[in-house]
Amino acid sequence: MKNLSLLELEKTRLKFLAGRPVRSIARSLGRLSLDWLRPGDRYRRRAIDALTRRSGYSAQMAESMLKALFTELTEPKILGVLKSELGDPLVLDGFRRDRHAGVFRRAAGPGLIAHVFAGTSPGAAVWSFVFGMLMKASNVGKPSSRDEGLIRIYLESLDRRDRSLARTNRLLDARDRKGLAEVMRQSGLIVAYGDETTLDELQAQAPPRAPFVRYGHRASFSLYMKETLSLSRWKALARRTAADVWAMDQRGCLSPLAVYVERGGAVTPPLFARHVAHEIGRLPQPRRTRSRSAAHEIFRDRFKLRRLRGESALFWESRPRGSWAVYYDENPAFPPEARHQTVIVKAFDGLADVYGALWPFAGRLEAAALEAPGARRLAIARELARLGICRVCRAGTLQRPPLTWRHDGCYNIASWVKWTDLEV
Amino acid sequence: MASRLEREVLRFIRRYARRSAPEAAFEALALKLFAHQFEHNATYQKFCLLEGAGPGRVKRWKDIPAMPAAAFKEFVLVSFAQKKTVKVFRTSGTTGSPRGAHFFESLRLYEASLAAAFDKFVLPDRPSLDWHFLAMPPSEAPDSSLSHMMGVLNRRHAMGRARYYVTRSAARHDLLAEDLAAARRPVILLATAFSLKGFLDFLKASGTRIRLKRGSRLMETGGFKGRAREISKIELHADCAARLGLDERFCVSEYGMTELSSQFYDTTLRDAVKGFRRRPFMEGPAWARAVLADGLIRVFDLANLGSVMAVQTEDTGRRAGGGFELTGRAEASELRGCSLAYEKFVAS
Repeated sequence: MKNLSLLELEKTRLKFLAGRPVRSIARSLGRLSLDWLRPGDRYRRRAIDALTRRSGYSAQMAESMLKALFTELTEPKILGVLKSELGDPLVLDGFRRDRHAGVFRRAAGPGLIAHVFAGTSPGAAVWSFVFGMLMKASNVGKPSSRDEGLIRIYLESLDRRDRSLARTNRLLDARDRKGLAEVMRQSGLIVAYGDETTLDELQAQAPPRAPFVRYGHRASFSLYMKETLSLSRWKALARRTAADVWAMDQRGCLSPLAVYVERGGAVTPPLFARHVAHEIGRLPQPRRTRSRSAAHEIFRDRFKLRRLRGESALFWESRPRGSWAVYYDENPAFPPEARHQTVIVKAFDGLADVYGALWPFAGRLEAAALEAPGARRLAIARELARLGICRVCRAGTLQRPPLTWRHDGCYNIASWVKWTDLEV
Repeated sequence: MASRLEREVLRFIRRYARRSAPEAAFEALALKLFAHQFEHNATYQKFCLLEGAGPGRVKRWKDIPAMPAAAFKEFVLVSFAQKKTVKVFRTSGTTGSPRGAHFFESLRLYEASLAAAFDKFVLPDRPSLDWHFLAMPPSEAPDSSLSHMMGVLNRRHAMGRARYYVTRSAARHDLLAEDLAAARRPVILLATAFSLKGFLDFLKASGTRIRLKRGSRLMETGGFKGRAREISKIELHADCAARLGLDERFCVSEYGMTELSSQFYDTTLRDAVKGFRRRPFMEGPAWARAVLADGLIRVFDLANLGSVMAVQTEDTGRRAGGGFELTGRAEASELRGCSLAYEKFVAS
């Protein structure tokens, strides 16, 4: 955006957005999502093209990602998240009575939100802007230099559907550090995504009193107890595991880097691992690239050395090598080095070993796909919560977080707004 | 047995010092070495068995199982009785991480290989030169293969009169600048890319420009190992041209590893001397061949008789001319998402 005038943006916001009912915004964004869910939609097609070209996803991965994203952004789901976080969505329009507190309350977003996106987590950018619009803020985003362009295409589609709403959103050039500094100085909230080092640097540049919300890089895993590896269910479980690994190319914060499988089920962990490999092999894989093949080769060589050390280690990989690989070992250590459709299935006997291996990563773990019989599932979830894991879900749904999920364990909208109480 | 094989490899090195070897000759000797190492190197044997490969089953040299270079960090990879070790070279390694170790029963092959390859790629015109080493002398860095190489070259070509400009405490850039400025003959400067960068920065800071005599040359190495290539080769050589008056075609990059006994070189100087008009690439001597396995460089080095002949590196490259060119370390060019990165976790 050249000649970005923040004053102009604020005028537009006051004119078109500040007084607009939140339901109307939700309805408009919901309709837009329905457009995006139609296979023939031209913006959707453009986004799939951009995601495959620039992010190295396969077309099917991109499709499944967009589907997961926009299914969560329909009108009922948007109203659902507002209810879940604010109690009454209409507090965004004016004072509403809070029955429990006996006061009237209203919530307002900041006038301007600066969003800083990093790396390739395309969905997060769309969520971020949607939340901003719902609280009637102007949004200015700076994509990363490796951005795949989804947010840009999304805003173009919004421009066609709802001109006045689209006009309160801007994107900076990925290299525009000066512009970003200016926006950060003026904004009432800074929302940033990226690795901890980048976030630290960014926070140091931010004005000292502006609220700074950070979403750092995280890792996820799967945990299956032996009862769920029954003869009738283990193959489906392997298929759902494969879907979790496949969906974000094992690059997202919700990608399961390790799959912990308890020994003693009807199927042994290595057999389960082999079937996961079989299922991943059936899914359409992205193009192999030189760097990807090389990364696989290095990973495989390290694994060979572990075998040489006498550890029990197996692997299955695509032919030709380089698009996916499934490893199996019996060392509970959490493997943050797994990526690019590389997953390690790990056999264990006692949960204590798994917790012990995860403990060093406490606070950097995002989600766990937990399969266990009812009562045990609750008990294990309690332990996982102590590790700072903020989402425990079913196998196969890791990559489809509901909009109501509290990203990184915090409210999304509720932590971005400011409240005013009116006492009677 | 080893000494008979050693003599055979030595003969190969002498015969093909200045010309390329026929495929069949390389293959026959490679397979012999493989059988020998399989039999005498227990760790390598286990590695091959896990790969499902053995002397009977491997028919082509390219199929010989390649040991990951990282294995030198945790295993003693010797094809002889370890107590007969006469020399150990160690990788520099970053603090805290283990260093790779390469054991030698004899340095005959190592020295024959390095001398012949150096002559072929850096001294094809057999010049008479003043020798300068921007590195520690072998006496101060006994486990550095690079310092050892310089020692060998010093003995062979400079009659022990070459100068070293790095001590344990400092790099003497001022002395080197003085000596280069005072040189009356063409000189040769050997350095690592990092130390050379330091020297060029020193020249820049002090505003010094030196005009070395025609025929002067540079061999620089490293810049890859253990870190992403932070120094652009092209920039480095352009700086050498500007600050030292070197002909850029006479700036030769070497690609070597502690885990190997032979080195690969840019063909640029050799091409210039021989009048070949082509884009330079990396080439090794006839007894060391590099292939690309999934984008990574894999080396088959017949001079690695005492350890493992086939070594898998973590350096990425691509095919170029009759050899390859380096493109960097694999990890640097990967696509990233919001998943926690391993290096970042280790670093914090």
